[in-house]
Amino acid sequence: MASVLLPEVSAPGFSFENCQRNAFLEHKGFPAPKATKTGTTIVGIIYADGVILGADTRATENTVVSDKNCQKIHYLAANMYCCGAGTAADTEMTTQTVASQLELQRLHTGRTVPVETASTLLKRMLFRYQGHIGAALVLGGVDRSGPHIYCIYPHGSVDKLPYATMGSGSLAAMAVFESRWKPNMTEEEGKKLVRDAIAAGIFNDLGSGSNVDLCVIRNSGPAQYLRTYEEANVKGKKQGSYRYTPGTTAVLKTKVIPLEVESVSVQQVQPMEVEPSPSRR
Amino acid sequence: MSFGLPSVKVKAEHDANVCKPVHQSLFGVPDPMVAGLGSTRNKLAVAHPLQVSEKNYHLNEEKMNMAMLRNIQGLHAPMKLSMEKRFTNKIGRLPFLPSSNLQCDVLTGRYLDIGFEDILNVPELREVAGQPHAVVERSMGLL
Repeated sequence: MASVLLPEVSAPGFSFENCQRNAFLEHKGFPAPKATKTGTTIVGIIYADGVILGADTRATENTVVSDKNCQKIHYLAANMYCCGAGTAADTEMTTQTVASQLELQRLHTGRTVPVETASTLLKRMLFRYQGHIGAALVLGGVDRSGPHIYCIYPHGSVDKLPYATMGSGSLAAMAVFESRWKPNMTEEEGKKLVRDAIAAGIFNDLGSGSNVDLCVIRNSGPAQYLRTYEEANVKGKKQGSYRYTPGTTAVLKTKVIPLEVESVSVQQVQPMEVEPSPSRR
Repeated sequence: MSFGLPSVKVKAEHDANVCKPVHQSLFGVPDPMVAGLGSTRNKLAVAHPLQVSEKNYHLNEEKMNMAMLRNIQGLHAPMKLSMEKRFTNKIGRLPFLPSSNLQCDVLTGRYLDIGFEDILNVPELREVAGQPHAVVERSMGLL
């Protein structure tokens, strides 16, 4: 199909050009580096006036903590937020893509978008990529028909529940919910319950840690994103100073090489004229 | 209950999903004088399970929707819609020139959508391009 005059152009979207090369390299003993996973505890509950979402803030790369304070609650729309577990880049890009699609939908219809639309868009995208996009999400929001919590798995299946947990710390958090969740809780009770569930994940699961983030979405009024609601793991203070006083190591020889500035020239760069581009596909 | 509808998930035995090298001459492989030596080897193996599914995703989705529409409303409905879609392919520029495909996008509803096709590997930022005469000859079947 390709020839020297007609190089094969790949279609817009994902390009699989390097997959063969990667497989060959792995076969020869050079595996690809592992993606940063979130190894997480994410939860969501429905309470009397809306939904509360909670997440921890640790991102891991196999056994090393790569980010001590990452944001796992992503913005989708003014009335919806989404917590993401799994591969960090996948959750970030998936939620950003769906957020832009929801904004287009809102502009097209002129109404607030129902939470079910977001869950349908997410599950269609995840099913299309057959689980290769490793994003496990807890979607929570409020629309005209009330508060909703959806649990979306990487292969594209969706559960609609009054309370949901995902991630490696989901069992610890679910234990807290199963014993203490009840319908129509007040906001204070709900926040305490979510905080306790995330703390259970933080202290009992190695993949979760650092702080607790909360997001409260009420029936009316703006959503409240409480970044670092509680710092569950505070780093200890050092007891004394471990610095050496200057002069501890004796200086034997000093050599100074000054850098002489020969000339200074300033060049003005004009911005290029770029035409607006048409839509593609 | 299964109605035997074509699925969005790829099935290897379907015609469109098999990775056949196009433009074969003798012995079922591309002519080495045209395509270069070693051009077939890369095409035979599938590098990633999603490669085949992604290549024909919109076609498969269209097929599934049309099959369901035929079951619900009768044969006339998919015929009308496919006819309109076919019109959108006939208008437009020569194969070498970029075309926005606006009418096709409007009919399929993709003008309201932002997906990976708009962010990754967009045609405007492509670094390779074919020779215009060769591209037109290929589209006419001469090359």
